[in-house]
Amino acid sequence: MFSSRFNVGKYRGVLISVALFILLDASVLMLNFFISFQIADDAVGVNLAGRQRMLSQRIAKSLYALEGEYRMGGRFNPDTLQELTSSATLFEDTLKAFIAGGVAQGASGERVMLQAVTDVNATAALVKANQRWDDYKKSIFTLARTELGNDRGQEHLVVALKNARSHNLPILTLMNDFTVALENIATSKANRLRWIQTVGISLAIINFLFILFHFIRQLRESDAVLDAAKNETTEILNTVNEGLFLVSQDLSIGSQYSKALENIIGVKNLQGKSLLDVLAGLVSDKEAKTTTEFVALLFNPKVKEKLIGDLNPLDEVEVILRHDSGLPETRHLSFSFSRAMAGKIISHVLVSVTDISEKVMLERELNESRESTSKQVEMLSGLLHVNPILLQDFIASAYVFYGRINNVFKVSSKSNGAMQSKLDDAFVEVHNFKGNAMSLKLESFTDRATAFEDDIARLKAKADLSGDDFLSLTVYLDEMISYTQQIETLVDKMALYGAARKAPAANLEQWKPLYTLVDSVASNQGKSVELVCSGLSELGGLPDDFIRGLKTALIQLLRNSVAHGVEPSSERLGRKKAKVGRVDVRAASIAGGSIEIVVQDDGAGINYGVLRQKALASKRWSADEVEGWSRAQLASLIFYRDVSTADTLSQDAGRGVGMPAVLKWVNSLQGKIKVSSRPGLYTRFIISLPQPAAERLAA
Amino acid sequence: MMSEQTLRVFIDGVVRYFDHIDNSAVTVGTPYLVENDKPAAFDVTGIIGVTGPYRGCVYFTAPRILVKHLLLQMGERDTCAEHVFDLVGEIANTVSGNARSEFGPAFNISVPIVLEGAPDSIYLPSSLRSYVVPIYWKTYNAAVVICLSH
Repeated sequence: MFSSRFNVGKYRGVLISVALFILLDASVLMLNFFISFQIADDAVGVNLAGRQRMLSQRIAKSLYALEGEYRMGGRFNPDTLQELTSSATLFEDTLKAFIAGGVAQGASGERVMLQAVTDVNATAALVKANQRWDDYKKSIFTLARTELGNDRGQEHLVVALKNARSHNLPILTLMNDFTVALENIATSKANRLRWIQTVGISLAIINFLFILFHFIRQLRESDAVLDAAKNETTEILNTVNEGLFLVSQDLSIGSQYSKALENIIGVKNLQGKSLLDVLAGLVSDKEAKTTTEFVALLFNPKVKEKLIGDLNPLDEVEVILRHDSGLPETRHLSFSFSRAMAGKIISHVLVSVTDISEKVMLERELNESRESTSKQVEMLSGLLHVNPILLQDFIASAYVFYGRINNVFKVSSKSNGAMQSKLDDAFVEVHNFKGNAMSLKLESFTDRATAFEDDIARLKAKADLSGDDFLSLTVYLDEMISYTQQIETLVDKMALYGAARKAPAANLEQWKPLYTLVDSVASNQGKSVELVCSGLSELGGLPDDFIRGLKTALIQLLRNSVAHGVEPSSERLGRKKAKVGRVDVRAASIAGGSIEIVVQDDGAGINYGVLRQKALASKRWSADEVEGWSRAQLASLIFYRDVSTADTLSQDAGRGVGMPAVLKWVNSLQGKIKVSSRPGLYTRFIISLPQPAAERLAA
Repeated sequence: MMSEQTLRVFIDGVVRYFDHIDNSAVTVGTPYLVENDKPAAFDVTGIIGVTGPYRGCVYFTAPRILVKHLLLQMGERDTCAEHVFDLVGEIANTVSGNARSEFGPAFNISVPIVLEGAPDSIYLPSSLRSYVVPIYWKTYNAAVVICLSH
């Protein structure tokens, strides 16, 4: 750590330059100080040298003053003598200090230390001055020691004046030279100082410029490298399909993240946002909290990253995003977290987010497809026995029934009566649909239709119907449509649909389900019944709608005949009839353009007594009225809704809606239906229908 | 496949809203199915998108005149288009709030989107059917339409 902290590396050059810069500045500063002190000393010297000139003149002046005073008064003035002495002493001390170095009195009377003068010119001037001063000073000091008024004083004065005349001017000149020499020394030092400062500062500036340019170049290079690195990072972040971002320990999202991230998680401007806040809008609070705890674990260096990988709470998570249209959109995201290291320190956690919606959807579709295949195989087992062409026909008719039932629901109705009527209408449709299903032995459809009928019956018993009571029926209808669609898909898959398109159902083939139906109803009722059909196969060329309606009507009539008409075998044997009952269906085109359909059974005939009781029980008519009815009037009751001759309700009969539906169909074609019956012998329905227009034209 | 209970929650939401505005009874008609390529709609429609256990949308659609009447009933004299839109959005929002309180937060519901006319394929997957539940209020007809897949 220590070595890395002091590893100057690429900054070595800059550091040396900076050190040099500081060294240069310090050197210049020190020299400046040193020379400045010297110059200050020299200034003192120059000043004192200048004072020597002044002192030499003052000494001469004092001597002349003493001469004047003596002439005037015959005695020396003590003050003048004192001034002479002090001037000469000061001159003497200063001169010695200049020559040999020592202490001298400064300009302000302070003690000043003078170095011995070494300069050649100055020394020469000093030596010469000292030689002259030597004689001169003796005469002065001799005079100074003379007592006032002493006659010898005059002699000493004469000698001193004589010396003054011969030495004063030369000493003045020499002191002047000496001063100039000292000044030259000081000037020379000042010049040197200036030169040193100029060179030093120049070098420092050069050094500074070097540092500056060196730095700028390095910064530029670093910036270029950083820019290149940043561009590469940005390019990567703009290109990857994953959402990538870094999270710091305080859970804030880093400044750089991949472009795809905002789209994937549907949140903009993530920089600096808290991961917790971002997750709070995406996943449940519990998941968000667990995730932040998981991230905290990743920042703990004591925890092994590999060991906690399984704890990732967002490995596969469903999130709800707001679509541009404002609608919520479900997506599946996978978050992965890994440590980002700076050396040995966990600096960040790198989070990568992948949109795995497609994968999840594919998995779901695969599972659904598996389930669907399994269901289809199950369905297939219930369909295999059915002629594919008839199955196709059944599916087509099923959608027609569903459409009719839905149209019944669709009619606006608010009153209870209107809603009851809707239930009746829907019941008729479902009942007919059930007959079709039974004729093909499609038990799954039959069961569904029966359950639908039961539900309608349940609602019919309700006193005060409201619209939402129908909700269960609509849901049931939806379920039946979906189921039929699945069957249709299966049929398509089996290429049955294509086969059906290519080969229309043979006339004979399409009536076969009637036999199946009779067998099925007879079996349910514990009876033995034989169906004998004639003329049906000659009805070819009639419109599909007509055939479909006829088939539905025949199913209803046959179901009625087997359930209500034909007796059980034991009963038949008792009446000396054949053990096996018989139902005849005859179809014929009648000259004059009509079709006649006869359905006749050799059963017990219509029980008029039961019908009379049903009529009375219905309370629609008075007892007197009902008592007066003929057999024909009583027989017509079977076309009334809710009137059934069956004693109990069964899957095959007893709902009281089948015959009204037949009548409705006959009426819709402007046909007629006639019923005749003889108790214990037969019941016969004769339906006369005008031949459809297209057929008549063709004929 | 939709469950009856789920459908009822959305119907109750609208009925409650009308009951809240006006005690004179609102009547629910008999629900029926429509193929989504022929959606049922009146003049204005407030849609809420649904995700979570069920996915698709639920919308309230009504003729403009009904909404204006409703506004007047609420004491709002200005029946401008903006107010009409706001109210339809509010009804859709109430339905959505009712559904959320019934189904919990897993039943994710969007903010209402108000459209003129019928929603298009953005909102209604063409392969599905919708449940249309007519709503009768005074002399007007409106509807709650529910198109959700499990």
